[in-house]
Parts: sequence; structure tokens; C-alpha cells
Amino acid sequence: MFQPRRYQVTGTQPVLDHKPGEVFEDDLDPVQEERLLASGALRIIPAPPVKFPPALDVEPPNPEQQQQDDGAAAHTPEE
Amino acid sequence: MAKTIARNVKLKVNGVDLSDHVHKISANFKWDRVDVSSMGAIYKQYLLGLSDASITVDFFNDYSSGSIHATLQPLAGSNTPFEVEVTPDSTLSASATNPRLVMWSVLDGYDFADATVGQALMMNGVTFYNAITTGPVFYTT
Repeated sequence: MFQPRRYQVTGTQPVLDHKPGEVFEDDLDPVQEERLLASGALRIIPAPPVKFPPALDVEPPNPEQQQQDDGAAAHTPEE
Repeated sequence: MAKTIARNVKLKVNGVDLSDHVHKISANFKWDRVDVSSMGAIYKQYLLGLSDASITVDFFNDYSSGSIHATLQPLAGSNTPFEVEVTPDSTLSASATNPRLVMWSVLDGYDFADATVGQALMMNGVTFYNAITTGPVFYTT
């Protein structure tokens, strides 16, 4: 399955009905893409970096406290 | 389309529009003529065999990025077919009277330069050969 990519026409000739300099998105066949890149007709525009949401202000769990809690739960008398 | 002067024939090779460098283009269809003459015949008798298709182009050469030489060079000598597309009139959309020919092709070679002093630098006789068994397709839409 092909992933859509962003390309810019870098050659002097129109490519896939896009004029020189134009940016477009397409899911080109890998062989066609390879040939167009080799000829200098196109370049791939790198995807923008992924931005993650800001980290939540939560303390990481304390392993010692976790063990104590587990032990207490194990010795709870059954009714 | 009535009689017309060739001014806007469109040629795309592997998706690249090379029309503005085309000097001459011909799309050819041909069938093998098989001699099936037998004893008693006075005239030769023929049947048509396998069909063949090719597109031959004379280009004004250009070594710019993404232009004639750069487009053809990665295609030549490969058995992985690529699309060649010819539309009689690029100013009109494809229709029954302006059919778009699409042929999956291979390219078995080309002249790097065809030069005569004082004349335009050419790349003549570039021939794209049909590469799939079903042959070229005419699109009317």
C-alpha cells in the first residue's frame, strides 16, 4: 500500500499535470517515483516533524510503594 | 475534429509533459502479414497475425533537469514498462474526436545527441515500443 507523499516539481517540464515549482501530494508507484526522482523532475518534501502534546504534570509511580500496596492486598483476611 | 494543423499534440512520458520539445511524433499500429498461400493459388493470400504498436518522436534535445535526456535516461534499457500518452489536441479534453492514446512502453535506446552544425540539437527517432500483451488503449473521456 502506498503512502501519499508531498512532492515538488523541480525540473523544467510539467509532471503529472503539475507545473514546475508546484507542490502536490500523490501516492506514486515506487518505480515511477524512483525514475522521476532520478531525472530531477521531482523532489520529495519531507513530512513536518510530529508534535506531541505537552507532557502531563504527573509523578511517575514509585516501585517501592507499589510493592507495599501489593503486599497489603495479599494479606487482607478473607471474610 | 475536422482537418487540422498539428499545433498542440501532447506527449507525456512517465508522467512528464515533454510536448514543448516535440518536433515530430508518429504513433504506429501494424499487424504481421502472414502468407497463407497454398497450392492452386494464383494470388498470394494473407492473414493478419500479431499486432504491434510503437510511438516514434523527434525531440529538440534538452539536458536540463527533468527534461528530455533526464527523463529518458532512467527509462532506457529497463523491462519495467512506463506510460506514454499522446493526445491529438492538448487544448481540448479527451473525447471520441480527441482520443487519448495510452501505451505501456519500453525504450530500447536513444541517441544522446543528433547534431548538425548550425542546426538545432536534436534527439531523433526515439521509439517507444508497446510492452504489454493487451496493447495500447484509447480513452475518450
